[in-house]
Amino acid sequence: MKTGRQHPGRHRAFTLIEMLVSMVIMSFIMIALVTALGQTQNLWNQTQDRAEKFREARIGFETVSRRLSNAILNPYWGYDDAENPTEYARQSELHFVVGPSDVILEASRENCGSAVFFQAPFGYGGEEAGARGGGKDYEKLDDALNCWGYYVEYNSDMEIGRPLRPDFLESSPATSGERMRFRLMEYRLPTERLALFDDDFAAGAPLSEALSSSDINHWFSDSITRVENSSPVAENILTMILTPRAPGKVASQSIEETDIAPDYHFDSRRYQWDDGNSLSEITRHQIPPVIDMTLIALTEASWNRFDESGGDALGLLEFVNSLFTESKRFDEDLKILEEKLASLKLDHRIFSTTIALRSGKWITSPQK
Amino acid sequence: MIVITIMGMLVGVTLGGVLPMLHAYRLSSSAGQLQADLAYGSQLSGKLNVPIEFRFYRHDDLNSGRNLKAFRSYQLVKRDGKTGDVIPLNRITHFEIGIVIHELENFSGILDIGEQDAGQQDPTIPLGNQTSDEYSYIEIQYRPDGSTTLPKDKIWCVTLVNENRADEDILPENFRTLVINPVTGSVRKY
Repeated sequence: MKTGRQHPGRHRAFTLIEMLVSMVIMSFIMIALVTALGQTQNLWNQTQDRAEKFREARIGFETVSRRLSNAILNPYWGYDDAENPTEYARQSELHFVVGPSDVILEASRENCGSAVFFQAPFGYGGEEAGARGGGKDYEKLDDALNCWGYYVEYNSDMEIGRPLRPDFLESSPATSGERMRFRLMEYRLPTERLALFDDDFAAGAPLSEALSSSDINHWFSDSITRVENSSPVAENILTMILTPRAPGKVASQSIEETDIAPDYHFDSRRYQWDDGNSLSEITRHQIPPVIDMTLIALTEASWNRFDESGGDALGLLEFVNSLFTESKRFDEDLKILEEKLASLKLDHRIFSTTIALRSGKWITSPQK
Repeated sequence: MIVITIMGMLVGVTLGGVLPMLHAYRLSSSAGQLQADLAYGSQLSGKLNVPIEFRFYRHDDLNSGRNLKAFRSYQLVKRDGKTGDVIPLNRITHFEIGIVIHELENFSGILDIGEQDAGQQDPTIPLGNQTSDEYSYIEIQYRPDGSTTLPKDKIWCVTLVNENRADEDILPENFRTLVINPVTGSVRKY
């Protein structure tokens, strides 16, 4: 007589308990695997984020260096006074200005660090620049003059009148949030809109007769907010510091390298609005031969964390602008800023270079 | 039976979570690759000091045996200075399986440039085990100064989606959009 216990198949099968135990063990293994996978994925994302963000910063860094080295002023010796000449003085129809953006842009927007505006032969004009109608006339002028500039701005990618992304992204939950970032901006004015030579450049007077820095700077300050003139080159650039320098001690005037811009502000037309300043004659229609450039780039991940945790971006902007007011204190200010970024847990990298401006032939005598 | 049912439920739950994750990963991967290659095109143009064309190819998906035309791949090319022939600068890069460019101009503004059929000057492209000249393309040109030939008065974008939803009026939950700055050539991923 056969019993259930003697059934040949019963001994080879797993019991329910055995299966449940094995499933629990498998579950533990799977949880461990998924956790490890998740951590690897996070690490991968962080590494990728770091590489991508600094790649963009490197492109921006290289762009500014390359463009700025082509700045020109085309100075010449001319009468100091056209109607009653007494000597020859340096003259130019162009303009070069670099300095704290809250000074030269007059704090009209949320700008951080230095800004620079200049002219260079980039041949940007016509339809290529978005012009319509007869714009093709400018397309073969490869060396035509342009007005150009760089500055850092804290702005939104959904700014009214100047959006940086298409509307449909706002309707998607994943991309609907506004992206407020510090951006390295490029200002470019096509050849056909060059206004420097207008007889009524500033309130009916030509550029050479303007008497205030705001009148002189209006060739860029008026048009900088127009979407076709300013575009972001790189995102998450906290600040850009530009320090103009002369190549060594300036003979006969006993001033040091950085003394040509002790407050980081260098203006080739300072003599028109700050006549009593000793820098006015030294910098008159000159381009600094050398500019030290420092860019501070943040990672997207750390900025996201800062932003989502309610970090005070405008407070940080003000903090940065309160530093870098004396070029002699550059190293100390940079150290203070690094400590601040570390305390805010903002991952960053500092890019530095020295840009030689090819047409910057420093002449120490103001007249002859 | 109980064990099999429990295991079945576990597998179902796991697959339900893994498949969308896998699809999202494919989208991200394709978008990341495209973003890097667009930046490479801009830099290559500056390095070689010649205009570089970035082409998006529209063709069948011969790998899966389906004749469903879509923008599935891209390539960097330049023109021969004398003959005008198209010279490929790298191999064709295909998006991940099942990933294509959205077919509507609302979401993929670069389609507004206008599609061109491959001509005699254009190279054949490998599709599956054979080459083909039955494709069309759109192209963006990078200039050596880093800018593009895209008109400056518009925001240009490319949206990658699952090919099953490439012609819907509403964006699916999973998508990646790359916004191309026509002035500086920089690319932003959303």
